[in-house]
Amino acid sequence: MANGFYWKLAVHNVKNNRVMYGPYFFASTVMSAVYFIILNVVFNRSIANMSYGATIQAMFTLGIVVMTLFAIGYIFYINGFLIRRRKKEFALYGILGLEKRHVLRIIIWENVIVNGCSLIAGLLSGAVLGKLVMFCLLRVLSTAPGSYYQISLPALLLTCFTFGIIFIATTCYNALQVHLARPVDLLHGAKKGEKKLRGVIPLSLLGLLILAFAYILAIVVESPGIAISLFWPDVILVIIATWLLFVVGCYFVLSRLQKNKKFYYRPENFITVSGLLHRLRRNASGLANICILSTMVIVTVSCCTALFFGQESILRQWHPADVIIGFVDQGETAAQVMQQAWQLSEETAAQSGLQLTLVEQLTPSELTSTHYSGIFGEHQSSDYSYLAFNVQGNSEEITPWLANLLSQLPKTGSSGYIYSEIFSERAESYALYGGLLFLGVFFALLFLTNTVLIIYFRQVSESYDDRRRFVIMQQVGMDDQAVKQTIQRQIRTVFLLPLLGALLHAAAASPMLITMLEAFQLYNSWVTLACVAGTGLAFIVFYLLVCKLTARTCYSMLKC
Amino acid sequence: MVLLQAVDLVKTYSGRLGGRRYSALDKVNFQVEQGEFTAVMGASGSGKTTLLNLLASLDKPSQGDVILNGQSFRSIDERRLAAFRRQNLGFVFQDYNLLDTFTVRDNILLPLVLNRAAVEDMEKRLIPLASRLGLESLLDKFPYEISGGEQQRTAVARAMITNPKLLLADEPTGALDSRSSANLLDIFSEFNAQGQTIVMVTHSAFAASFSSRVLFIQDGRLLTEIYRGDEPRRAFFDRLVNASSSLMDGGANVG
Ligand SMILES: Nc1ncnc2c1ncn2[C@@H]1O[C@H](COP(=O)(O)OP(=O)(O)OP(=O)(O)O)[C@@H](O)[C@H]1O
Ligand SMILES: [Mg+2]
Repeated sequence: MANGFYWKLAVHNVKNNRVMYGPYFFASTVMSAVYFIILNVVFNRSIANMSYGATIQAMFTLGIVVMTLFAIGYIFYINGFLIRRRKKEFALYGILGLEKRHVLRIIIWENVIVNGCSLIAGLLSGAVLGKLVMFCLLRVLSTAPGSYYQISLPALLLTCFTFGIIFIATTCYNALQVHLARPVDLLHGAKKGEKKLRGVIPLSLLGLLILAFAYILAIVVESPGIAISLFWPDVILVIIATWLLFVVGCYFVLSRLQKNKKFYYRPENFITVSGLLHRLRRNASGLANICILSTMVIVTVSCCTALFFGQESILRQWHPADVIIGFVDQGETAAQVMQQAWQLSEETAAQSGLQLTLVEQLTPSELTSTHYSGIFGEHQSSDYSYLAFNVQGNSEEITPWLANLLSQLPKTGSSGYIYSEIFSERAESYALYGGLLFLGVFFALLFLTNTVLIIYFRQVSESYDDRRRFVIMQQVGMDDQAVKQTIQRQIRTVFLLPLLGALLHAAAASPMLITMLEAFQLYNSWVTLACVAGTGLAFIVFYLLVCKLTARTCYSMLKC
Repeated sequence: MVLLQAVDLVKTYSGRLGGRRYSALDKVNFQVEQGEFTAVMGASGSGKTTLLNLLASLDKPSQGDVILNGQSFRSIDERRLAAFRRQNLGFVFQDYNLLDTFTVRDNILLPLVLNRAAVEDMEKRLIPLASRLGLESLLDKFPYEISGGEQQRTAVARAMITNPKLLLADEPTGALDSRSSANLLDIFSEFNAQGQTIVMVTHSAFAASFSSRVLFIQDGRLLTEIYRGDEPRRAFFDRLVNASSSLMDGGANVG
């Protein structure tokens, strides 16, 4: 048979399965676009030449590693989902007399079409959106005139390479699936019964215990160093607990409800409880994944925003005043010298259009206390008198003015003066935390897209089955309105559960986040709390919106 | 006493393309007496399912009316229809239509739960019915764990548990082998012997031979009816086969 035949059949299949292939296409497009953009940032020369550009690029390189792992896992996940749904179709081909190798050819063509198109679309949108992303990045970093977005060949090749490998791997996986299965199995495979769950009570208890332990750990830990080293183990504990609780915990609660006859055999509860039980059993792992991904989004974004918005507070830990100049304390001369220095500073500042405000009380003992001691290092600060002031005005004027001032300062004794200033560190901090925020938001977007897609796939597969149930219940004598309501109630419960879980996790994690951020000198826990709360709220709104939209689109798609 | 009356039932479907109208039922009139076991027999596409759906109030006729126990379906408000259906009618379908989220027990109890029956009452009705249908040992299994015949018996139990005035069955043996078919039809006859009114739609003369009266339908029109009288089932079956081959050019299935 001519190759054109398989090609046509493949095109036809992709079109027919667009309800499923569409989101798959979208997911891999987004993934490759993001990958391409990040790679372009990593390979960008003009960023490398920026001050602290190296820090940003190192951070993004780490991001690439995480992304690659994530992309592999995720694309395999949706691919598996797609293939399982289509097994019946493949069986039909077999029964209609297409040999396995013919089916294989069709599958390979389908994969080539979908993956090829999504890679091209990803690269194109990466190239276009990259400009926008770069613009935002530079704004957030608030530095670097002269940096520009540049598409680099290595980035292009590396993206094609990575996704090429992933696509080849999924194609092989699909081919293997078709190869291993016999038509009979395939036909029956779709409707396999659920196995009875064993050890429900101990496993639920175990899940609860692990979760409680992880939460307590997150709440009681006090030292930032320990918090950082315990963070990942704690995350893993929470993931295990989430899985256990979704898979067996919900089952346990619902089957308890089912045993209570007076409660269970009422119209409102009867259908809801058994429907929920059924849904949760089929979707437990998907829901657990949604919960975990959502938690990751909330935690990542709130950490990054906390660091970004808290960086002033961090800087202030080190710099109680913008500029501090210390003179060796030699009785009255020091006071005179300081007076002179202050006058000089004010005059030069006025010439540059800057305003200075004296920071009055800054005792030597304050400066030697824990946070500041690092700045003046080995100098015995009690030997010094300090002149401390804040600077206001055009930030571009500040650096030249400061250099000029320092060269003109009077000296006392042999050692001259020591000083510290906030400006260069602020720039560095913007580069670091701005880059971090940027990366965080990027990842959050990625996680979100994927969460949305999991939700979508869940909804689609559910609504297929729902239609059948809908009809049967009407036949048995439930009115349309009631049927719709119970089904919607079930769907709502099912999708609210992961959201509630994620919010609970995030709330329990926030003490640990506060402690961890102290390692970054962010002692203002209110900033962290506000960021967690803000992110949580934004996430709730987003999540509910997504559930509504996906539910609506997929029901309307299935009806026509 | 007349339990069910179909009055000038017409059902037309407008075609998807161009709106050419196709009439699936054309002025169907008949009556079913209380306690009768009526079969409607016809070839594929003759309008049997369409007719049954109208009798079941699952669909609305284009013209005409159905009257059950003196109550016209047209006079029942849309919102009350579901409750009416679940209190007066029981259904059995070709493809069982059990809910896979429920165990056999809960599938059977579903209509009672919707009627807000008391839990003790449910048990009282369930146990004898289940034992009569041979379902006692299967009550806690799920539909996909039991055979087709068992699923169909579950569907019968679900239809019968509310003691409906009328039991409607659409091709109930369509998916069963001959032994489970005979088993199911015996159950129907038994119910009928105890006074249950049944209307069953089928294309098979074998299934129809269990009834007490057979209506023949072709192209949406009732052709004739044949009463069984005191005849044994085998003889009635032979008569039905002869009648259907002469009436419908061999359109009906002997099996
Ligand atoms: N929803 C519909 N829209 C258009 N035409 C329909 C519809 N439902 C049924 N028909 C047509 O009405 C006619 C009667 O259909 P019906 O399902 O009642 O046949 P049947 O006697 O039950 O056949 P079978 O024994 O194969 O089940 C058929 O020709 C069918 O094509
Ligand atoms: Mg039919």
